[in-house]
Amino acid sequence: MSSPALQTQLLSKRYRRVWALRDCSLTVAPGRVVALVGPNGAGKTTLLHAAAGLLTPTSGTVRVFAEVPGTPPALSTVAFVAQDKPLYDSFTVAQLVRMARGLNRQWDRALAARRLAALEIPLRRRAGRLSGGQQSQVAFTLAVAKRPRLLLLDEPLANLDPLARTDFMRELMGTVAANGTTVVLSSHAISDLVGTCDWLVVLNRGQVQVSGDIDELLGAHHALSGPAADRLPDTVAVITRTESGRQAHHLVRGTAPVADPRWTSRPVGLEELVLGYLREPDAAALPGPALTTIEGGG
Amino acid sequence: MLWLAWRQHRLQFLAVAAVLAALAVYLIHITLPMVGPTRLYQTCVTLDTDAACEPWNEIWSRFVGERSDLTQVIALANVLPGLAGAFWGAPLIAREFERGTHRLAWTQGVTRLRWLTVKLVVLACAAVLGGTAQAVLMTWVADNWRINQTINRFNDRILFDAVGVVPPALWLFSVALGTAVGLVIRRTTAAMAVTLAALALVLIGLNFARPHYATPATRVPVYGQEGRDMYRITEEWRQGYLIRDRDGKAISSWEANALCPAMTGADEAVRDCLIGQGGQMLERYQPADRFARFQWTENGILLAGTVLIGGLTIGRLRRRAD
Amino acid sequence: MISFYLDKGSGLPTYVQLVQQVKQALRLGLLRTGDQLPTASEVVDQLAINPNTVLKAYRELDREGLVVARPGQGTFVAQTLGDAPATAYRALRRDLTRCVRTAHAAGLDVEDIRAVFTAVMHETSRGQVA
Repeated sequence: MSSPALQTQLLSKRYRRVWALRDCSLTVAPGRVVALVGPNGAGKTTLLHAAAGLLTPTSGTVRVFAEVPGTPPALSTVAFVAQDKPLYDSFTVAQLVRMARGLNRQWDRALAARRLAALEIPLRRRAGRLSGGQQSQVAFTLAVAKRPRLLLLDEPLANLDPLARTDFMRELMGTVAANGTTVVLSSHAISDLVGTCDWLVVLNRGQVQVSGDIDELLGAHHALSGPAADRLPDTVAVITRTESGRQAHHLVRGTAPVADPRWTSRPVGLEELVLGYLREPDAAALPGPALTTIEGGG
Repeated sequence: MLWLAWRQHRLQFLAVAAVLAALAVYLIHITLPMVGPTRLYQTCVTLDTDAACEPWNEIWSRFVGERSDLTQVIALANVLPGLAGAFWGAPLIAREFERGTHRLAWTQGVTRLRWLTVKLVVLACAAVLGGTAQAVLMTWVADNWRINQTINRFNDRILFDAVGVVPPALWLFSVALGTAVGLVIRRTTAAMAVTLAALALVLIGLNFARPHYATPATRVPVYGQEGRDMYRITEEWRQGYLIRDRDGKAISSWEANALCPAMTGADEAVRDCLIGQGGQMLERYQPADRFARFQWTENGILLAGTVLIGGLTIGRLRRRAD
Repeated sequence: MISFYLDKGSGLPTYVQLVQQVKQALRLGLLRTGDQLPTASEVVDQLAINPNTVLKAYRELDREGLVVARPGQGTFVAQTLGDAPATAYRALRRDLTRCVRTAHAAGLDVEDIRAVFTAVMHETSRGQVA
């Protein structure tokens, strides 16, 4: 069993009086494409920065392929693209490529050249004069050309138009298919993650609320509607409950033996699932024996 | 990494080099006319014969006290290390934080420690280079302006730091200081301003400390030099008088004047009166040959400060990047 | 060669959709024994989905004995479907008819029955794959 691509144990980070992360424990198996979702200020960026070695935890540990982030072995296996896609504005694209090539032991020169050419990004233009979308693409190119084993992307889709988003995800999936790269990406646009991410991590108020295989999570959750007066069986855990008149709608985990025709059960989508949990910060779906044994992970 | 350091800082290097060059052009322009007379003076002092001193004798009064405003120009020279600190040191880390590019730079394959070390070494080389250039220039200027007798590199607070072995250390210190300030403040413009202010404070502090680098020598003051001695320019540093009354108690010159009211207020009369009363009047001074020792002392203080601040900066950045 | 598509509104996990599409193609005779399924990279390129999803679908088909993965070569059809005997369809139809009649007798109308039927279908399809 190879070491996890990313593992945090009781990871906490405090900025003055505010806890950005609190007792975060998380394991990401190699080869996973992880969707990191949560409201603003939930700690997504803090978690990514901790994994990238850009911050020191207040307590707890974080490891990437069993290495401490920020150390040479971790730096050479992890690539990170920050939310604002920072580039040196005065550098031309070619100079940025040269910089990254010089700073990394591993560098896929052909990949960088091919990608920039395909995106029609002028190599001699200064980064500060590129469009926001182009800047994102350059930052992403620098990250993938490093051929990382773990790719951390903070809001990679934020400045991209819908077409570019699809293309971006397609390419990202191509990278995963070709190199087996583990990806952790944070996003607000949950619909863009459907079909591409296979592991869901919901962060809420600095804590891990959900961590699990997306297909299994979707299979394990149902939307149950029925008479408000009825009690639900003990076999299901209610995540959310809303009542409209005599009807009650639930998001539940577990399979309910709904024999009663007054009850209807339907599958839930990813967005519905995420929103349900976010509405109820106290509910949690974390990897227990039941969830981890089914799919050992990549 | 070296290429990156050069690429990122080349404009800043060129800017400071341009200021240095402009100052050099100006100083060379006003100093060149002094070269000939200075040579005449040197000949006079070295040979110490009437024949050798004749040419100098004829022209010396022209140069005594000329262009005393030169000290202000020289003050500009001490802005140079400040510029190095503000333009090279302060933005080094502050700009990365300000633009968020530290998240790009420090997630490549090179550790922050290595990144900072290489950059500091490059900046240190540039600082030594700049400081040496400044020292060579200013030492030459000071050498050739000695004959106006208002410019004494030993007792002039500003000139002392602009000549000899101090400038390279001062540039290094300034760059280290700027880097540290940038790490703490993280806003380029603010860090630059604070660096300049902090450096000014350090220089003022050094000015207060400098008289104490060595216990001053004392001597009975001599007045009324005659003959060629009048021309002899001394670069010693006079630090006032040590006056005692007959009981051996140290008194101020005001009190001395009360004890020995001299008609003219001339120090000579006071001296003789005090000695006549059984008191003592000594002049405190640092002999000119202590200049090198003072320079190395200041150099050492600055280098120690550089190492300390640089070490703290490296340690802080290595431990945490947030 | 099969060409996959995605129905985002179906609510079914992507890999289940892929499994079903392969089975459908097997039933309709579009895929025959020995045919190669597209590689994960090809599917990824076409649908912009996670390659793990494709592999998961193929593993599922492998487990059912429908395809076989040959390392270094690809995934190939091992067995066809669609020869379900006509008697099975007749039996299902007969059972359903009886169920519907019983429900009518109990006072449920067409909409009620359809609601229950849909729910059962969803649950069983989920239960099958979970």
